[in-house]
Amino acid sequence: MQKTSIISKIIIYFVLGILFLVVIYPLFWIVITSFKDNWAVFQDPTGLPLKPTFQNYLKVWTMGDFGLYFTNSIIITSISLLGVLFLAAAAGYGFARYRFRSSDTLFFVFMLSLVIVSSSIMIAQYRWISFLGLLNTIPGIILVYLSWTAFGIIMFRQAFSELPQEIADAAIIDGCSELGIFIRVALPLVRPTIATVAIFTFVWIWNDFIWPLILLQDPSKQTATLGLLSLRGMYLADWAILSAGLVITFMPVLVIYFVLQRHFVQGLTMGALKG
Amino acid sequence: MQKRIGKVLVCSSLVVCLMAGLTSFGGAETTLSLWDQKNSPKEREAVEYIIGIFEKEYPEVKITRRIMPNLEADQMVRMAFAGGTPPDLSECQDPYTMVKYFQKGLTMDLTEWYKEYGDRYPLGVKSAMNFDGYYIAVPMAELVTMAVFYNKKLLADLGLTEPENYGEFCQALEAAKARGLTPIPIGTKAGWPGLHIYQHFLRETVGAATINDMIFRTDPNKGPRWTDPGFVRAAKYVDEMRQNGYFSKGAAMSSFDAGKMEWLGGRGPFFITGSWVPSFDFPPGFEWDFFWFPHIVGELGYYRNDDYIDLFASLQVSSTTSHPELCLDFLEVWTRPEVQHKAWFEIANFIPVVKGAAPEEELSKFQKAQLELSKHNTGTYHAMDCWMPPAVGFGALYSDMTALFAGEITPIELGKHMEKVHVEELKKLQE
Amino acid sequence: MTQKIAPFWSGPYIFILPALLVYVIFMIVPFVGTIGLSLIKWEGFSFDDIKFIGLQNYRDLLVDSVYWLSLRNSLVFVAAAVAFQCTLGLIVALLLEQKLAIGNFLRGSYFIPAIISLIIIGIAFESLLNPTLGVLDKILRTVGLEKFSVLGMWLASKKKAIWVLILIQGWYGFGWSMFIFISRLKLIDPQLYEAAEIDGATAWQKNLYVSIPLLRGVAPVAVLFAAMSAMKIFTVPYVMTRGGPNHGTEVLATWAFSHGIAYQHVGYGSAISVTLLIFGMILGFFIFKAMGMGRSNA
Repeated sequence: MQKTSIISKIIIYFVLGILFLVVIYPLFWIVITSFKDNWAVFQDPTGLPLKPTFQNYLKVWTMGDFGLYFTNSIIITSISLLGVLFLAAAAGYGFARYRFRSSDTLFFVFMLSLVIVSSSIMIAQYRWISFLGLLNTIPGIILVYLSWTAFGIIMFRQAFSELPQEIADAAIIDGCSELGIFIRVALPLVRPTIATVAIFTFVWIWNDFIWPLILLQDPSKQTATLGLLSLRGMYLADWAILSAGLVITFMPVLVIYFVLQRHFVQGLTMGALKG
Repeated sequence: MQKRIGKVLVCSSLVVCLMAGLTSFGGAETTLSLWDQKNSPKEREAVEYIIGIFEKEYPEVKITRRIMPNLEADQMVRMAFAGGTPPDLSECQDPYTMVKYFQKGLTMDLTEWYKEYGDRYPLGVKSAMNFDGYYIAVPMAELVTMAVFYNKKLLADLGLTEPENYGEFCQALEAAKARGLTPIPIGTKAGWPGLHIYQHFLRETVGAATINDMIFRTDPNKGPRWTDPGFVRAAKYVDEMRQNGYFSKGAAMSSFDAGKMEWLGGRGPFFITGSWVPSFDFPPGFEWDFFWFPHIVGELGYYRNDDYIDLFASLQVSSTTSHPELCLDFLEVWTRPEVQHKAWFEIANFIPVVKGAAPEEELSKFQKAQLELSKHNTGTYHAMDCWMPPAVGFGALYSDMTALFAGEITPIELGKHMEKVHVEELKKLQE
Repeated sequence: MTQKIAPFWSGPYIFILPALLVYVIFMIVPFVGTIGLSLIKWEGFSFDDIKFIGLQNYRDLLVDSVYWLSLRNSLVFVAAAVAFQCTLGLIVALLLEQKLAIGNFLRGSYFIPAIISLIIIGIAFESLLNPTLGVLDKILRTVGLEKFSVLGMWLASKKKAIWVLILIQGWYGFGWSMFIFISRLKLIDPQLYEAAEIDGATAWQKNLYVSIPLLRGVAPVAVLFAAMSAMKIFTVPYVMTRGGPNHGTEVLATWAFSHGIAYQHVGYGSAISVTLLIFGMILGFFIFKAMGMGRSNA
């Protein structure tokens, strides 16, 4: 038994190690490329930078107006995120706690959004938003993001339905309204789910470029991911600058991921708490 | 948890208020919106310069500029027009759509403006902006021509000189290939870089007039066809070059910029593209020169002097702008010779179209040659992609070009497919 | 929690209505609008030229060879990407659950691709696979796998380009599948493993006979997730190949985009989008039923 164990372990580590390299290498490459001069990239695309430089980051931040875009991204994403969390948690609770005649239909209606691609409804959305007078406004694009609640609703419904009945009963005895149960009792218990939904919603909104492209026309309102597209304009093939832009745009996502990772793992393994 | 939620709510509402406040800050002044695609560093500077001049002379006006990503720009402008909130001034690199905008009353008729300032442009340029008797836009900057640019050092190393004709050009390509270089570095994933080469051959096989006839075809039953021998022959020339290994490996999957890097990196001598080359960021020590695409003497039995001269980008004014007069004033500032000279000639290194903006003494060899070309050619043709309906030009033509360079399609198949798509589109437009 | 049975308007509405309202206004309305747009002919310039043509766009779809190619590409992509993603995710999940020293770190790292913006992924891989820059070539040469450098040229081939995109989708999405499987694996009662050990099972056998059967319940979730994401794919083909070469990587979403936005065929593009939505729903429904996915509380 012992021998097979060791060999197995080695094979497993080897496979996982290769996979790790395959996963990380593209990111690693982008980072080292961002510190090179574009000609150095061309001469030696895979080596470590001989003369590391921050000039690419400076260029992207100033010339690319990335400072402004970054701020916009943060504002839009954070506010949308909070909104989605509220809406999805509430709706998830509603579906978990109650059963009513149209609950399955309504749930299905929400699930429809899983197949709706932003690019497909782009034109209709554009017209609709400008009809509502919300074109080129931050609140407008936030409202569009607030409709991205399907994933959250699935997760929250799952999490709430796994809460023990006794907790709800105890709260009712204490004279709590349903809303009260939701806010004071249920929500605090699903912190891992909140973290999970938060990470994914943050990532999806931050990375989205279609809605900022269509709905935000003021240069002062553009977002970071959209700025990347501009950076990749027709006559600009500076791999080094592009990489710096990619790194800047990716950083916040990575940070949020690391911060919330612990909770989020718990969130996906929620059931294990039941023991 | 509740307290945290409360705090967060307060913070976010404050932020929203702040944002709203900030964005309405500049509301007191008059603003003109300008959307353009000049996103490379020198071009950006050029436009900033012009905006600066305007804002100095019209202090109560502020220009809000939006720089659009090239590939999505025309779509963004179209969406804005359709949504009823177009920018006051916008750049259009898509002449087909520009004409459409005007036909539908979306852009302003600039005939009056041209009466006053139109003479700043040479006659040929002016007429390119004329549609049906009306003037619909103002050329933004430069004249575009197509040439073969080469790496001086590499060519010298190969012991070659500028080829006089196509036969000699092919010999030079063979020599480069034998040396292990990529004779013609090119990245044509987007389709248009390859299209430029195809158009060079078309110039030889069918001539400028026929190319223009194809571009402005309206009747699906008439006009030159893509399956005509001349058109197919041009595609064959391209295909032969590919089979001989003259293009970059993987040209069909590389972007234009990758091809550019290959050339600038010294991996091959010839780079066939348009007159924006002088504005590249050259690596230290790189010396380049150019020649016009060589004529195919003898084999085709003729020797025309047609060439490609086009105006790429124009400025149009929306017809629903709240400040028509100011827009016209902006156009006036934009087209002043001294402004064009500083912005486009000095800063961006292009050859501006406005008369007097590029004084003879200051022209580079390339710029002089361009001007010569515009005087002495026997016929000019337009860029096929921008002037045909988008489904044909930007769609089928681009993707067929990429396929041709990938060896995925034969010249005859290309002709048949283009003809089919073109006819279908013309039929649709007629309905 | 046991569910309270109550009519919508006395109880549930407080919780569900806000999300529902926003969702209907900003997701369903444009969705219906797209269906409406698919019934017209319009270049997208001004509202005056809208022409109602009924189902003509759909009739045109039937004879559009590129449409059928894009449909085929979408389906191939979905099938292959899902198979690749889920299998890889499953294997990794099983391997990581062997309680390795750096298991948590690895698990966290494997998920990173899933949070990267697809534009970033498109641009990054475009650079990495670029033959001029030759990064792929260099790596393969260093590892001694030069024969595989032909892979780098696949993007130039109409038939093979899509496999590169499938690999990238796998790279991007296997972290999702991995997590779904891990979350289920963590719920498996350790006693089952102990029982198997007592019966003399090796690690591999434990996996085969204990873990995998128990994962069957959550497999539909993983497959559904991967399939929906693959069905909608747009950004990576858009950024990397624009649907080329010669429509080899044209998928429904990119073809709809080209027509609706670039070619000024708003109606036709919307019709393609509608078919994409329908196929997505069919696919989702099919996976739902075929894999026996129950209601919530799975």
